[in-house]
Amino acid sequence: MKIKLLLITLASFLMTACGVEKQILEDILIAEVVGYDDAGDKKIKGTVVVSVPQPGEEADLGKEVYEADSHDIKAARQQENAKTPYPIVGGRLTVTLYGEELASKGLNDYVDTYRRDPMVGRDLYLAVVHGKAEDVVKMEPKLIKTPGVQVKELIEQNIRTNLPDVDLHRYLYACHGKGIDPVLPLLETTGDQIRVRGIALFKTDRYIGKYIPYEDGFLYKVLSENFKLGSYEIKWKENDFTDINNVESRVHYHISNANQDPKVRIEVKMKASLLEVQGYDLGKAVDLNKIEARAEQVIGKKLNEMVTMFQENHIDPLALGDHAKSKTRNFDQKHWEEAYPDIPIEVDLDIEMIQTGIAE
Amino acid sequence: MRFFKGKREMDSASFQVTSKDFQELLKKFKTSDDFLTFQFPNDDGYIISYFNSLVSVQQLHEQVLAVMSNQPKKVLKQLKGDIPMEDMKLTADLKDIQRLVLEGSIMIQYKQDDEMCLLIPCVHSVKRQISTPESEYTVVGSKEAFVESLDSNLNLIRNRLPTPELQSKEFRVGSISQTRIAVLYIDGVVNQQIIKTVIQRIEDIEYDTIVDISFVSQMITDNRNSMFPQLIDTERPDHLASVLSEGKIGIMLDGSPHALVGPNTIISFFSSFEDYFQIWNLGTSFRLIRLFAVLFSVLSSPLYVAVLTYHYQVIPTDLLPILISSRGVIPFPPILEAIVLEGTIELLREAAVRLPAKVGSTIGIVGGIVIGSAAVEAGFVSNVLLMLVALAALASFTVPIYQISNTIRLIRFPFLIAAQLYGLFGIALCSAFILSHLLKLTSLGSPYLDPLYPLRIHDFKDSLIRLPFSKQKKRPQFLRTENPLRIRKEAEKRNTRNDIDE
Amino acid sequence: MEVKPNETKQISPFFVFFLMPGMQIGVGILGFERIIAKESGQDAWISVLISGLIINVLLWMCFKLLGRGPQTLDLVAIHKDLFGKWVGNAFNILFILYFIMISIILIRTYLEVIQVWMFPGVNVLMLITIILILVYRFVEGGFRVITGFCIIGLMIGSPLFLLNYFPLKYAHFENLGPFLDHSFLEIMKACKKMTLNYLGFELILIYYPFIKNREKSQKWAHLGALFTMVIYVVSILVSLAYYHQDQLKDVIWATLTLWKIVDLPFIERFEYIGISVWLFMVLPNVCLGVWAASRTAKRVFGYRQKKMLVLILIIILVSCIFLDNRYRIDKFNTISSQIGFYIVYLYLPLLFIWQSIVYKFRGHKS
Repeated sequence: MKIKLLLITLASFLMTACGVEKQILEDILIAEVVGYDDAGDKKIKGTVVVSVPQPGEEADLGKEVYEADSHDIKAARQQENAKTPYPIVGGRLTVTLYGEELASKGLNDYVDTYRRDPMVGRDLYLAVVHGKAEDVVKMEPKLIKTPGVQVKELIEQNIRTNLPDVDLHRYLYACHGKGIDPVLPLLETTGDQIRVRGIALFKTDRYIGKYIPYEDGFLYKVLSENFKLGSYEIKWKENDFTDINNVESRVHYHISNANQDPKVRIEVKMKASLLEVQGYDLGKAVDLNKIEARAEQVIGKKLNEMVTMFQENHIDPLALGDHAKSKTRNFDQKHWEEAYPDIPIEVDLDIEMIQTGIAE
Repeated sequence: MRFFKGKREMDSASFQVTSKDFQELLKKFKTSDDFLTFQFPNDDGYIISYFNSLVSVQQLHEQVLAVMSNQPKKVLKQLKGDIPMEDMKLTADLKDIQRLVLEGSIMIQYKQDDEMCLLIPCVHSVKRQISTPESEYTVVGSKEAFVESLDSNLNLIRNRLPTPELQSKEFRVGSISQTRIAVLYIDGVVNQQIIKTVIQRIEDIEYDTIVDISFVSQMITDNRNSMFPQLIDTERPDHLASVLSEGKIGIMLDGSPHALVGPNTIISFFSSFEDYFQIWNLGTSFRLIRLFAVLFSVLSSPLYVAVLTYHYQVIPTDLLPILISSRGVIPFPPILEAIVLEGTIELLREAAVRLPAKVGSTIGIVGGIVIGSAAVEAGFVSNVLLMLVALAALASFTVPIYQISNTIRLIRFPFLIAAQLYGLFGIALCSAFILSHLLKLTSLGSPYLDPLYPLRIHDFKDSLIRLPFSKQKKRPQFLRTENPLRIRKEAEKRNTRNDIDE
Repeated sequence: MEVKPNETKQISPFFVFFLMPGMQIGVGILGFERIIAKESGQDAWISVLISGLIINVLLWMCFKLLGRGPQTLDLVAIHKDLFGKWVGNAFNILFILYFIMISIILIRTYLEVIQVWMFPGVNVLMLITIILILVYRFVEGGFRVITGFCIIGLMIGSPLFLLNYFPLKYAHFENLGPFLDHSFLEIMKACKKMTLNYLGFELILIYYPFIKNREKSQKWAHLGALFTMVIYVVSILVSLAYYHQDQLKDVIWATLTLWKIVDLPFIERFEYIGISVWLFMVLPNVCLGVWAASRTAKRVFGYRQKKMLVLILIIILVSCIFLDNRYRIDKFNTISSQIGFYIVYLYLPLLFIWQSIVYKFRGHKS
């Protein structure tokens, strides 16, 4: 009993200094979107959007932009704090943007802090900006005022159809793993809006300057994952177009003989529906077989081109190397990397039209 | 309670017979003004004395005086035969005389200074009518509640359990009050060890006046410093009857309209008796809702403090703006805000309890709406917290047993402080402290956390969930009953090949 | 030499099922994946499986050690019986130190998690003091209360294992291929590294006399150890599928990092809640360790257990003050992992063989 009392007194003594840093919600500025640009002279320019409570008015939250130049990200945060009434915290960061120039120099140094910092979540989206990242960051507060972060919602919305699902975890997965190269969304500003330009292609952590245009994002998605949404427009007759709606697409990679003379066959099966056909006689039933064949031909060609482009640039966003590794004993990584540009890759596309909407 | 004044004046003498002899006792009696002595039927007649506050005058007239006045004076033994009353006693024992007279007997002496007395019980008792239960009101089910009279209460129980095995052991507690206390149990069901423990503890009670059963409750519980009640007090005879047949024991005190029930587990404090009146799946759902309500009530404001003070990261993105803007103008840190608001709610509750019912409901409205919205408008507290605290208060009212709802009211304050010190981790630490207390706690020797620990799968049938009566074949294991079976007859075997349309 | 605790202090054999994972699953599970996967890559789960099975064999040995004598024994009694008073007690003291060491690792590593993930500037001394007071409160209640804490801790903590569902949408199960692409040696190396995580089952040597109907407890003990194994195997499988092998190499707390992606509509960033709730998984371990140390100390030195308990808690407090940075903690972890390895894989089998010889010899004599 005495000991208990002693311990309790001791504890209450120590209570005066529990040494825990408080982060009371209204006494911090929560960073939502942050952008980094190359500022020359080995410096980077950080731009951050924080939400600021507007006193007096209920449920109204303003957004403000702060910027700073520094050599690394943490120091940039420090510089920004010099201008703010409360410390900026990054625990709820939703999007990190990198300027084109910075991204082409390699992102490793600028992602590392997010990998290490336990405060940062893994649902953080990374994206490359065509031009300066600060333009997109500065656009954020001007966009429609619904609660939430506009850039994040833009990316999330497009992930369903045209962008690969890339968050911090997936980026790190691809960046650190051998035999995979990451891809990131490529954004740009047009007038007073932010728009997805396409998919930026990376070699390890370096943006190679090439990207897949937005429309073809769907094709990349078809090649890289199983998914259920999205649509693609094909020209099916002179001046007539039709829109193929993806109902369900599945992809399989068949890799053989990876250690000596590798061969790759990518098998894509797509169940699609037809919702818009131009230039067709409404009285007649649609000739599905014809459209199917046409679609297979057009899309198949596109896919093959895309794969060849990957090989030409020595990048592997489809994780073929990783697939090969998981299917081959004593996988020879070096041999694979050397052989990769010349591996015959065959894309085997099979489209099946399963419906034509609610009209015949 | 009745005749409290008269009793109290005399009672110091009544416990130990301090009077040396009969004369001194009589003298002591006579100092009280409500003690009457007269001779009847004439100056040469019997000497009749009694406390007029304790004796039923009507009975005295009709059954005693009427008999005497028509007859010549006889010896007391013969007189005893003539009077048509039960349980009369002819004695010269000082102790008996003192006790019986103070309980409302008429004392008849043959002549002055005679030590041999005839004591005729002629009690006049003031009883409240049996009324509806208030603290354990249920929509369906019986509307009887215990009253202050022990005998009436026993009557209510005996009517419900007409079995010779229902036994009542009576004791007297309190050196002055000499209050009757009865321990009720069903022999052959209850574990004798529990009876022994309870009787031992009741005999050990040392106090002058025991006015209410809650006194007893505090004196016989296992851990007298625990915030958690270990004995349930109930005002429903049907509740008592049903737990008695489970193998628990009941304790009733004369003058207290409540009965104590034990041993209990913590879960039994959250199960309303009404759960049994509903079909089992509804009953189970309501029980779970209630349990959730309790957790919510205890944890909501500490979680608010923890999250807002330390862990802004866990707030979902879409909720963030709402929280920030509601907190933006509040001048206090979350902990102070929470304590102020919780304190206000406690004030309101305390005020509402103390005030008469009609005014009390006004307090609720004034407090809830006027003060609450004023505080939000003044920027004193945030509306999110106000909503949380109000919900928590509401949730704590779902607890069916009054004592534990008090515990729940208070227990969130340590949680609040812990949340302020270490955020979510502090809440975990505080829960661990409480768990360490609960694990050690016993109720009349049975573990308090049953069926969670000791893990008894069978006891889950009537704890967090309530299974249908057909599944309640056995009495709760933690009571270690002598006869664990409730249903003797095996249910008829169902036709297992019961197919569609057959 | 017979050890007979009061029957009211005993527990039913079924509870041994909870005591096993209760002691085996501690802080290790939050970050063991990196160390194991470093050795045997995608075959790490096989190592986890194998060492889990080996643990069951060792557990069987423990039961033999305890049960084959004419009386029920505990470790202290076995030591005294086999080696005499002085040598036996020397071994007992070693075991006391070992139990204290386990407790220190658990507390310190858990606090490190808190320091790194939640409160970087936290006053460690104070937090340890609070935790030790908690430990005191539980251990003071005796073995039954600690068992209860194990069970309830497991009940509170086990929903966290359901979080393994969330990474599934990120999972690349092809990461597990090719199957058995590592040499036997590599797999066994990983097995060795896995030992520290499975430690704790040997406490049965101390609490065995506290079990009612001891014969029945063996089944539950094995089931409990298998349960632990399943938990570990599932954890490593999920981690292997979620992380790329090359990525896993630098994730210190793989399981914890994995909780980051749990995203519920009302709560995000589940790791903060997870770490807090994990207290209920760690603290029973510490309590059991401290209890075992104080109980052994009582049996060896003959002082009151409460006094030994306070002494042990003070030792833990002081040691934790010295373990003040990641480097020292890591070193301490490595050393204790080694010691644990030798005690479990070397000493226990040797003791088992020695006992067999002694008993055979005695049997011949009588």
